[in-house]
Amino acid sequence: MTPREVLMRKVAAADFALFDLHLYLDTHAFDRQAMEIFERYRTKAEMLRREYEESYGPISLGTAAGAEWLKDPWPWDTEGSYRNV
Amino acid sequence: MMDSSKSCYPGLNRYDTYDRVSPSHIMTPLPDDATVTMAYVPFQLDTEIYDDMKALEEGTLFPILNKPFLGSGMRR
Repeated sequence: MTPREVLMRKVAAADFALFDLHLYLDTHAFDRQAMEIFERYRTKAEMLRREYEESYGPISLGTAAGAEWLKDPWPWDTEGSYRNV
Repeated sequence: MMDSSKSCYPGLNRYDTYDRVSPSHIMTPLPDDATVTMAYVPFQLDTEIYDDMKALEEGTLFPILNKPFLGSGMRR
């Protein structure tokens, strides 16, 4: 994996942990310890997202400044599709 | 007085949110007043978690929910 892919995987992992805790808290709202872990992963996911976006550009439209997504290459412009974006 | 048996969590008043440390002290997998002929999903009490990279690989944050369902029993 490239450094970019490694970092994107970390973002995905932190987001996934955050979402799974969110599901758990739906039925365990009184679990204070889980709420603390949820907050920790929220911070972690935010930090990783910022780190990724500083190096490689926006992940979602919400954080896109200007017209970043119009920059070349587009996914179909490169061989091996999304791996080279 | 609030009747705690009206809560969806046995032993838990609905206003107790965030006031308890761990569910395992007060919770049981099934309600004490489980009724006949009704189906219940046992409540999750185990809160051990993987680190996030492992969780992404396994598809769940909770080891107790990690059930790969390999289906090997049915294969020939």
